[in-house]
Amino acid sequence: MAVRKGVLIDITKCIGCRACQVACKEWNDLPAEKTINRGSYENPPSLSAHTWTKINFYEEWDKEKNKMIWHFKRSGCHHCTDSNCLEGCPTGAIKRSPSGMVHIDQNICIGCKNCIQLCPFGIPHLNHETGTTVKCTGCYDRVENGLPPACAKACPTGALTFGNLSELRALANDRLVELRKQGNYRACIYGDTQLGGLGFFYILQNDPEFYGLPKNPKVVSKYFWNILSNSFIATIAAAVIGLGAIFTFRDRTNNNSEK
Amino acid sequence: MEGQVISWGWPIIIYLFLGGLAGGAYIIAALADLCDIDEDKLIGKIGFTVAFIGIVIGALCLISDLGRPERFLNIIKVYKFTSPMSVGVWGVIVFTVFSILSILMIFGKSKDSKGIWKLGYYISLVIPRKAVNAIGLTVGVFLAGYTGVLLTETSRPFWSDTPFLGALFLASGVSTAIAFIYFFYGMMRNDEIGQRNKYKLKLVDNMAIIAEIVILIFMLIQLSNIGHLKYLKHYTAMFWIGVVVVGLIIPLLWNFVSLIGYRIQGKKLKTNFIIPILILIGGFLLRYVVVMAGQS
Repeated sequence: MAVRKGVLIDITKCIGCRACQVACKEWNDLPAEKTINRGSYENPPSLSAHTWTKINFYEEWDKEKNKMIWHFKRSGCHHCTDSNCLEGCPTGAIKRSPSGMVHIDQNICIGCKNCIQLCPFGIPHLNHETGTTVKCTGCYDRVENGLPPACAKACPTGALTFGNLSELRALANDRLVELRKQGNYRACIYGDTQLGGLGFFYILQNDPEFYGLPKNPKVVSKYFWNILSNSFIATIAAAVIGLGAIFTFRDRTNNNSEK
Repeated sequence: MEGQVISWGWPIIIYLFLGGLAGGAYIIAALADLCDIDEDKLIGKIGFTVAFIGIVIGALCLISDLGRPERFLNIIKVYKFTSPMSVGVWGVIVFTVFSILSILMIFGKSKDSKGIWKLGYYISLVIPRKAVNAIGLTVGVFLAGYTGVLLTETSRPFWSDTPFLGALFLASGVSTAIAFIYFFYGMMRNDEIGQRNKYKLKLVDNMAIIAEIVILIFMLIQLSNIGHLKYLKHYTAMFWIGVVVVGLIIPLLWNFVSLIGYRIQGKKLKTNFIIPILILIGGFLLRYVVVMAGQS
């Protein structure tokens, strides 16, 4: 079995150049999107069917240093170990490559949009031209041929590091120790435990919520038990209404016609 | 969530409504048949027909919502226990089969049945009608409840953080189905037996409405405790006026007055289209509010 690959996204090293964003578009042949001046260098405003990787900009006022801090976070699919989209896809169009990259087979997808509802990060989008759902493929076509994903290859600062996932986890822990030594006590790792561990995971400079990341995203579809437990109250309601109906329908006390 | 728009819109809202209605109609029709309340099986005939038409239109809505409708067969090439949508689609297929069987068997229950209905008679020689209806009843319960559970099994906080949606949609499905069946039954039969059965249908309708109100109260308290009522913000008026007052309170009180009048004063139960329409509007708006609020 192939070794699980991944990408460590160290946002403390990101300078917001968006080379990853452009590289993703180039490799995947994605068209440019018409953008408008929204008072921010961040563009386009969100991921879309034509933008699978982008840098989100966050501003924070540092009270101690009395200056603005910019945070840059790469957004895109996290290739979760417990992928809600993969487990919940009703057609089996969402697959995992031998190296662990979760991607959508465009020849099978029917555009039911279930994966859009299942992803806690809001990554998949419907491509209205093809009628199918699309997202970052983890460049599985590159990775399975020994190349890093286009975004990691293009990153000029080492903010995106591609490698064996187990080695990246160790690297992240070492980096966290280093950041703490530098006095960056808010830094944390995101994605080591969430959804069974994310394939593309982070070293953040602030709490996950600051970046719009759910602290404890739920594994939705992996276990059939979830469906049963969520049906429990419905079953009770069905039993109560059903018994009421049976009792009423079988009651012959007001059957005037039968007297 | 990153730049999300409404992914599930009108076709899905209509499907959830019709799925609940179809499931509820089958439940009532099957129970009426199993309890032998109507000699001419009129409730069963209406209920199974509503169930079949409802699920067929609902399934067409489901297919029309796909980005690639022509590929819809891909969904039945796979069976995935982990995918509520896959489980649900198979549930819809099984339900459709049962509603067809039940229609054939209730319309063709005698040897003298003609045309296609004769097929129902032949099927009943192999499997008793009541056995089919009893098994179909469980599939109907599944369908009516699954429409809510499908939403619960997502990552949208408003849907996934509450365990009440399945029960709510099931109770609403039964209530809307009875409103439908009551209207057609009342139009076709108004003799003494008809009056007695209309009384029973109204009584069960009120039970379903009360169940729905109780579930709704629990759900609102639970959503309030976890701070999720904010998702209802844009739909507050529609929810309280459309779902609660129009769809639940007015029909409940109206039914209650009618039931008292019939039972105590011996007044005849009238058939009008106002209450069924109000219940159907309320049931539809419930799906609309829940689906839209969850994606806001």
